[in-house]
Amino acid sequence: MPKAIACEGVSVRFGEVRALDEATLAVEPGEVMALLGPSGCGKTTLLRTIAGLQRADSGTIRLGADVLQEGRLFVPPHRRAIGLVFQEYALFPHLTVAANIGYGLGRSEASRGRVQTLLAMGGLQGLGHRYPHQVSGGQQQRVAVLRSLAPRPKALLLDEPFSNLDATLRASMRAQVAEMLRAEGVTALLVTHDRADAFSVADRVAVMSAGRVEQVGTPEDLYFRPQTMAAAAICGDVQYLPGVVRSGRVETQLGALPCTGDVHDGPASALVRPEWLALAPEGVAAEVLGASLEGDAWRALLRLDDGTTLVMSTPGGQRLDPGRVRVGVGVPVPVFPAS
Amino acid sequence: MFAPRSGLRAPAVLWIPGLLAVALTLLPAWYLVDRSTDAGWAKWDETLSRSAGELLVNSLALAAVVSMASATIAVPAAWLTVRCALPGRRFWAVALSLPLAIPSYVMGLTVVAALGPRGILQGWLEPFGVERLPEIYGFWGAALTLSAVSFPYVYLVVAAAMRALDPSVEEASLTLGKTRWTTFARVTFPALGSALAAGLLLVALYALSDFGGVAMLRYDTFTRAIFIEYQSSFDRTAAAILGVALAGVASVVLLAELLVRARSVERMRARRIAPPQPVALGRWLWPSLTFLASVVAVTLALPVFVLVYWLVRGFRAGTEFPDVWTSFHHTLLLGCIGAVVTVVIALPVALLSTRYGGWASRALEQTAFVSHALPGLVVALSLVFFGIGYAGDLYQTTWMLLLAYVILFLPNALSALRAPLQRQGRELEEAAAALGRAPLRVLATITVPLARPGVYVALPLVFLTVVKELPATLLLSPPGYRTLPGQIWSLSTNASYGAAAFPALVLVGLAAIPVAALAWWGALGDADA
Repeated sequence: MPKAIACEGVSVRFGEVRALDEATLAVEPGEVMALLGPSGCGKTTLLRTIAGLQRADSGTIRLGADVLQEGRLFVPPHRRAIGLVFQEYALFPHLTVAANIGYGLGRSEASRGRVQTLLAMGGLQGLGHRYPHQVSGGQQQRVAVLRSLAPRPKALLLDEPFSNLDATLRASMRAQVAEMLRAEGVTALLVTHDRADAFSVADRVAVMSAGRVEQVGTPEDLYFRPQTMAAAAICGDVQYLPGVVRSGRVETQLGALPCTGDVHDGPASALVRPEWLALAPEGVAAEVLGASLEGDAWRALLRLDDGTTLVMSTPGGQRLDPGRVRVGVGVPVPVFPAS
Repeated sequence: MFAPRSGLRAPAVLWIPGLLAVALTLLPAWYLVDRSTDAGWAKWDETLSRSAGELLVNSLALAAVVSMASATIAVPAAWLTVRCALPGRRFWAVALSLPLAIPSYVMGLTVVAALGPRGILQGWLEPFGVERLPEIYGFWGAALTLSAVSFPYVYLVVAAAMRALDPSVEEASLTLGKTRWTTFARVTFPALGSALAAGLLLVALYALSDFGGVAMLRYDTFTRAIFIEYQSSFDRTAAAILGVALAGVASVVLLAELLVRARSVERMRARRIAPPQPVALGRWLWPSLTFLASVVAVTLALPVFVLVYWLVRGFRAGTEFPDVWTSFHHTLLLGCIGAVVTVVIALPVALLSTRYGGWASRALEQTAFVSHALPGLVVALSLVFFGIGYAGDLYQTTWMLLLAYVILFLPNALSALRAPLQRQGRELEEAAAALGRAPLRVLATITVPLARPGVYVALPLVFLTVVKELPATLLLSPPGYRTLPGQIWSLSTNASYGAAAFPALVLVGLAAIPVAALAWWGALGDADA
């Protein structure tokens, strides 16, 4: 079965800047994938290249069995049947909400019904006659998603869909958008720099860095088993302990810790995310230097007996007072060859 | 700047008319150069050495003084009406824009009719034994005339820049312990700098190109010399050579204007959060109101008063009044058709340059502004040559006149059309393409509707400039075709102030309608009239 979206060796240069450097990516049919990476990593360029708004300098892009770009072949954006939700929504200011949603449809009775169904799906009943500037930010965002879904695109691309929303609205919009995408059964690729967006909405996440796709996997894969230090940093907070790998375990100041995956023996850096540290009666002695409440978790600064400092994150209900404790690591740790 | 390769292409429906429009605007420039060289370089040498040095000094001195005077009036007026708690702010904004409805030759006529040898002031002072007033003809009369009609250009540009200025920048300065005055001097004014410079250069360009005002005040500039060469000596090659020289000077000014304006746009891209708190004037309120009232009195009330005065005197003296109805009818018709045709021709160029990227679109746009550097008289002259030489059937028809208006006012229509189009992100067309719409459908359903607000501004703006236009109307009107500007011109050159006042009042009234409407909507700042 062909992939819903397949990019192979796609490169785009803006003058001296390599925005995309042989990026390769495959999205399965019906899957919701997130493209996660820091700003400037090329993720929006990849999205625009798939939509056909940007021509790739080289590489192949396929949609199902169709080739969209390869060599001199270039399918213009309006013949691609790929929906795109813009970061600033790009709602047509001179059209009503209903006319915006219906823009990509014909003028038949059926399409009027489709608009009504979509309005209901987005909880926008009764707002169809309003203009985009007359509805709230969250509503504008849903109009933008529904407008792209209306013509039943073969794939839907979303560019930073939640970045214009405040934190409270953001959480509920993630759930609503994920629900709309799954109700339509559409293959979706969502670009974001926020890992909570990516992890909560997507089935799989592709991590991008410097114009390349670093790793593709489920949120758990990426969080617990990142394959590169860049991927590790994009998918969570990082701190490294120097160590030596011997037969599947890495010896560090925190003891011999089990490693993820197959690792070669030798000097290495072990990733210990702050929230992987926990109080453990059998663990290593450490001193709590101080703790502060950050959101819903405590962040404590620890000093091991050899002077190494580490950050530990504990749930909000579990405050750490300065004093001596014993700590350990609760999960197998990823290790990277020492640099 | 790099140019990303966009997947969107502009359709041919835009490219072909756009290229034709630009070809049209290049016609007079090309033909003028052609005509000016047909008598060899010796003729150039002779013509330029005879008078060009003096004309250049005269024209530049006038441009400099008019720009400075305009700025002195316009900057405080803009600050008071945009930023201060002033009673009747909207009224003042309209009143300060209304002088745009007074053509320079009408202003010149009123200056002469009020302060000239047989003017109102002389008549009032005669009983007191005043035999002669200081000479009004010449430099100072011309400077007064042109400053009064051109300060609104600076006012509009600076007021628009002030409105676009991010108020939080000023607020930041206030919270850092600076006074209002220090803030104005060190934050507001420098931020306005390039907008002000652009406004000044615009007025300088206006003063260089103006024909009617300097002709009324008999001040020798390039335009007056060209007209005299053309009319009295019938030495048309000399007129063409002086026209090329003037266009060269004007191009330098225009180029400088485009450069500073490009900088000002970049600086002003600010996101408006909340409207700024108006500045309370306190004990400065009455001096401020007096200042604004005297500006409006001198530039608006006084000219209207002078015209009414002469009209009443003419009625009492039994002056024979001209047939104003026919010329009103013609001028109205020319204004309407000229506006529609010019906007229709400008639209493809505006859409190409704002909604589609690429070097070709940019080149097209910049070429379209070339005719901005050609004063109306020079364009008219060139079309006279062209008509006689190549288009005998068109020459001395209203078609030729309309062609001149299109060439002259295409840049004005373009800047009005472009302003609202630039404010909408280009991703709107991308969104439509991603929804499966072909380029032509996108053009019809998204791009053209986005242009609508610009069309509403461009139409009255071009109408205004067409009905005021003098030199092309004089040179290219079919024989016996009466227009208001033509009538005012011929009557006032005969010093028939009473008879000239009638068509002048009608013309000012007609031109005031679009100015007042645009000023009321606040739409004038977007475009140069």
